[in-house]
Amino acid sequence: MNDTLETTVLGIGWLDTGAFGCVRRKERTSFGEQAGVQPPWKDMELLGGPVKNFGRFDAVSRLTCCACALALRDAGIPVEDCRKLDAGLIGTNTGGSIDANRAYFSDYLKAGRKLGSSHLFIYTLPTSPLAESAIHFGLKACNLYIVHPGGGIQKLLDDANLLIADGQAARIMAVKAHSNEAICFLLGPGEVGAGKSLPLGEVRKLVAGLDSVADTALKLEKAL
Amino acid sequence: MSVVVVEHDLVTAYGPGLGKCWQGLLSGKPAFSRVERFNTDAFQCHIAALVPSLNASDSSSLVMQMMRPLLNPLKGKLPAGTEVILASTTGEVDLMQRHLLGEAKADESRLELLLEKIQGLLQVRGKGLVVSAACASASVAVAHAGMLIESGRKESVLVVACDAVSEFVYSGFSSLMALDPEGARPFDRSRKGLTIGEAAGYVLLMGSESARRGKRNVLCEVAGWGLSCDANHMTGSSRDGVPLSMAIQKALRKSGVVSGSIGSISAHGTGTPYNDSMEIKAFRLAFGKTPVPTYSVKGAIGHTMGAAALVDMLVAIKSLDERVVPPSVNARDIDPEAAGWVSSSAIQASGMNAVLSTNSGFGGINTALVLKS
Repeated sequence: MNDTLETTVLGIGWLDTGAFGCVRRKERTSFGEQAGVQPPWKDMELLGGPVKNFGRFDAVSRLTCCACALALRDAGIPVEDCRKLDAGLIGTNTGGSIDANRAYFSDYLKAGRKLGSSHLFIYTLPTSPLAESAIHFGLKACNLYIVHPGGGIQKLLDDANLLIADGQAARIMAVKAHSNEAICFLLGPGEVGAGKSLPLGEVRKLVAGLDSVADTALKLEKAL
Repeated sequence: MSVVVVEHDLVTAYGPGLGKCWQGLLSGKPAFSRVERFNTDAFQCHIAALVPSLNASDSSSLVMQMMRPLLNPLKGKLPAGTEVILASTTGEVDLMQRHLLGEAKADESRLELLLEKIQGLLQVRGKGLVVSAACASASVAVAHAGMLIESGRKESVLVVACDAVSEFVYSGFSSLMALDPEGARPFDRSRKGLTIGEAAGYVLLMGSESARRGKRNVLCEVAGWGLSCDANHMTGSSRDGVPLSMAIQKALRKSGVVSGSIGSISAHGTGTPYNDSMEIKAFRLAFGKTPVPTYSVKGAIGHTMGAAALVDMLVAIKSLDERVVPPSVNARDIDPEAAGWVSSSAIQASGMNAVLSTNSGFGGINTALVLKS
């Protein structure tokens, strides 16, 4: 355990039903605001090319993937380069995969309790959205879902930092994602300074008590 | 500071207690039975490894029926400040089934609610946390507990793991054509898939110093852990075993145990053709040409999903204690790829002081734990 390691926040990407953005770059785009602006899930440059099976993904998986891509853009790391990094994923939300669980079992009941849909079943794990992003971005270190009831984003950042300090990954994408919003923090060692990276401690303080993605993104944009 | 195990217990299809599970494994007889809990006529398979005495019509969920007798002895006896980590994949998903079938007003299947119930059973304060990492959930939880203790954030952590056989998971695995109608035969040449099982268990981990101060009996040391991801496929494992071998290397490095000192490997060994093949490749990468006695418990007690890694860990602890490598039950005709590694008979291992336990789950999640006596 290397507790002396200084973890920084290299990039923060987010999206919800109204907008998407990159916090460090102070980019914020409302859906439908600018002609010609692609939403993240259609922006092949942002995603680093087609995402295999994207059409099959459940909503949480799609938003997780887009938030990761936005965090990478915020950090100035091309998707192609991300695949060469020692990086892992940690995710959180409220309720885990409960929406996907209901979708699978409702479909199974509709089919007369005879045949389940394997496509729906594979999203019935809280880690399924993280696994889809790990496949696309080539994240070969840890992959796990943790929820601290009432813990919010601060706990997510603490858990990500613990994994880095333990040597499980040099960089971690820490994602909070629901079916209508997602935010991703890319954590890792970095040089703190203008336009480079942000001290984790500072970001931790700013997100204390925050839960919604929109509130978190707004507060961080204003403060940083 | 080292991380040590001071208490543990489980319930499996062999019944309550690690002793029964151990004797069941040594008997070589699988604990599989026909599923009567729901109708399996439409599925490719009709058996599972079911915990005796669970009642699907009971008002409480299947996992809570396992948890109550298991955790009752711990009530009020955990060290002050113990963090509780729940490891599970689907938890009380049977409650969701009841809701969607119109038998219950609300869907109370969220893992956070199950954590609350467990903390209530244990009479512990604090918020606790839920860890889920597919079929490696419990070993990821143990690794997280190890990090919390090693970093000084916690002195003691109770990892509780559970999953039950429900129509939800049974139909799902059936849709993936992943079930072997004859019962799981890990590392067998003719293996065709897994058998779903259910289990619950716990392990109380402490820092060695806290355990000494509390005059706790140390059962083993969790010396190292490693996590990795295939980043390859949602349900299929990597073909070359490299990612799992990376997790093993991480765990060995952290533990300070050299690969030659590992006396046995508790493999995930689901019984699916690709998983078992991948694991043997990973073991060869990590340990070289000299085979290490390897076994899987899933041909006996099924694949217990979120509880699987905890069951594996406890069996590995018993194996260390008894200096015996248990047999791979149901592996009758060992796959040539696993020859020399896997045995269908128990093996005496008098000098065994360290063992490895590995797990792999959907999404390509891999874990490795190094345990030392």
